[in-house]
Amino acid sequence: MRISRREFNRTVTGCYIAAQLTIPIAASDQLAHIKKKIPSSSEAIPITGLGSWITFNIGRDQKAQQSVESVMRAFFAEGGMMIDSSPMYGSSQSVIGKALSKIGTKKNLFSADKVWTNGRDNGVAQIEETSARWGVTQFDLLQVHNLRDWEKHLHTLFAMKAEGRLKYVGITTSHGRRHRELASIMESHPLDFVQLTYNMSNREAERRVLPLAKERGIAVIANRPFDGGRLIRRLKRESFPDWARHDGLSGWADFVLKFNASHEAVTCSIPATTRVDHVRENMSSCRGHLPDETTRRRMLQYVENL
Amino acid sequence: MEDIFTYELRDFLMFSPTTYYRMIETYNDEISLGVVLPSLLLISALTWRDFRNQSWPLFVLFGCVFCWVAWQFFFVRFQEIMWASVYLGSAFFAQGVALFWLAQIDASRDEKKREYSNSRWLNYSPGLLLMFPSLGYFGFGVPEFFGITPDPTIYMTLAVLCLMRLPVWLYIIPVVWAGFSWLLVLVMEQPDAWLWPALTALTLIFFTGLSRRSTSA
Repeated sequence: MRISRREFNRTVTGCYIAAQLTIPIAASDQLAHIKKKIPSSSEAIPITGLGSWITFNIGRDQKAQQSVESVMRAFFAEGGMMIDSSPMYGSSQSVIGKALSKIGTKKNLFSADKVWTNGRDNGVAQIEETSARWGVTQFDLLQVHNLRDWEKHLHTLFAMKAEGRLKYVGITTSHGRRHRELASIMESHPLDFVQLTYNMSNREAERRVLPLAKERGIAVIANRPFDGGRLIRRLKRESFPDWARHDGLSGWADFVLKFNASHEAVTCSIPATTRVDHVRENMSSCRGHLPDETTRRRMLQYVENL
Repeated sequence: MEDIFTYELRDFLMFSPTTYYRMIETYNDEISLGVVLPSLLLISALTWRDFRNQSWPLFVLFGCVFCWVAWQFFFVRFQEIMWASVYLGSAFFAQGVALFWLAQIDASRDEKKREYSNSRWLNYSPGLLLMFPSLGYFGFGVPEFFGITPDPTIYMTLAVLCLMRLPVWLYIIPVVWAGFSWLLVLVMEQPDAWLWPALTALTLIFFTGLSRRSTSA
């Protein structure tokens, strides 16, 4: 077959135009995120964030600081938004602050931190110190850590919100503890967020707190989604089931994080890691689609039978 | 309140084993050859000609060493990754002050009324000085040195306390740290966790035995 120069040029130009149209679509597809809305504002955030418990508490270790920077770079590159820390996490806040100053504070950063002290004045001073460590003037979310002196700190946080110095107010607990007290605070205060432990091994929150969060329009952050690493280590010893792959799940991290996010009350999970490949794996949960109720039950049954 | 019983020891671990051991490695690197200075000073004190009649230099050395570990290990470094470090550092500092006080008493004491039974076996205790760095080089944690990090410091202290038959209250802080250190490696899921309680028991039994032998000889 002979092709004239005109036909050749037309074909090449056509391919080039087609490629130009497809590349952005493919690229945006790659970063297309499953987001969930914060009920009190309708602002949407990706279903996976980044925790900092243990992993970012590295002291003054420069080598580890560089690895944190790489993790945060990869997190933002994958479209991540929420980074969560606490004054209780040793050097984590300063480490995040240093990394942000190095890689440039991202405009899509959703900064979440906590108050963890006794007394109103100490709480105010701690928030100022936390802001200085992060190098941010305003947090998106501040939470009362583990309900510590919560009455005094909630008063401070709601006042900050009213003055426009804070977007969201929350309260946290972990390991499935103090849910009765948490529920009572959720019932009596206009919280934007609660943070609690929820994963395939610890579903205590399903009994009372998650239905209450749904009912009261409170966003839920699930901490310890991998049960402190135990769950994912156990799962990674097993071969990944074909049916899960057919359902669009890419691996165990995706499996666990999508399970969490598919609960109607859960807004996002915040796995912590020191590894770039793990953060990429975690952020893959923000692509594709969330499992439906039938798949969710199957996922749970599968893990329980392992 | 019943929630307290749902906590596991690992819930209190705020850092990874990598971070802990990297902290000690970085500390060693920063001090460079200075890591062996307390060990050299201890050997000098133990081989001092008038040592048998002068215990206070040893107490001063141990007092300095406890204060240095409190400051450089607990307050400057460990504090960055463990907020409770300030309490541990304060305990080490208190031990240092107690040892200075003991030195002052010893220096002003009439020689004939000396209570501390100095033992010739003290000259053999520096074996412990070599053991800790060696453990690190053989894959148990990282190399640690007397007077630089708490573990080698307290094991050497326990040996000297046993050999010199010093008051029981001086054992409290070293033994408490030995217990804390064991829990730390246990929670960090280190394979050598069994070593630390064994080492504490061996140090106490071995050096108390040597001390008795020395007295009866």
